[in-house]
Amino acid sequence: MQSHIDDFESANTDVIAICVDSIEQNAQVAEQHGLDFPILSDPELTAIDAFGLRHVGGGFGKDIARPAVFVIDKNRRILWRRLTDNWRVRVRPEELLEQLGSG
Amino acid sequence: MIWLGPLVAVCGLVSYFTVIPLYPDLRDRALLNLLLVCLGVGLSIRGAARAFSSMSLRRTKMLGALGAVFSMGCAGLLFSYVFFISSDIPEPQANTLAMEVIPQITLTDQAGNEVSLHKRDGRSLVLTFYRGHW
Repeated sequence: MQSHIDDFESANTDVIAICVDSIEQNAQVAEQHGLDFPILSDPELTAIDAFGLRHVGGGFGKDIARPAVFVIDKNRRILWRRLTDNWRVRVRPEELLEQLGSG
Repeated sequence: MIWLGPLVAVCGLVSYFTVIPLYPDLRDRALLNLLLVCLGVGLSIRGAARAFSSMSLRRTKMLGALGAVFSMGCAGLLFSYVFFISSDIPEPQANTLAMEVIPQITLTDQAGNEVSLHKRDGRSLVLTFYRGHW
């Protein structure tokens, strides 16, 4: 996502990531990988449950989020979603930009 | 060269998690790394077979055998990860697939700022959930 952050900005689009990690862990990850977009900490799985994405015991016994990507318009409507069946295979930024262009 | 097979195998395994993530096509298919670990196993078995068939020292034979086992372990790990472990994800829930509008949720980002998903201010959003690093 970071490599295409300017393209997302040109498309008037925010990029936000969510995971169960702590704020401090997310800060480390952001610094390590040079990430400019917000990484939200959800240790209570509030957002993860609201979206129905809890993976029980998925993190060595710890409940975490199953991978998922949503494209959302300015009115909070979900235009597109991808719930992968394999966490190695990630959504390409180009695909998301295409969805934003057609949305 | 009984060390060559294990070296190739461990390179195939380790590079998948360190270097290959930089190349999405290679990461998604994993074919290159799967081939590398298989090559490593093949070279290890050949190296071990040569050690046992020649007048090699007992130590050389043992190293050859250990190298072959090590290479097979690397291959097993990578194959397991690619074909089984990484697809160990729960099925999508019906409400996730049917959701039309995102809920009103506020969480804290890495800089300590509160971020509300539902406050769009005229902007679209790409929202990604990932497993994290725990």
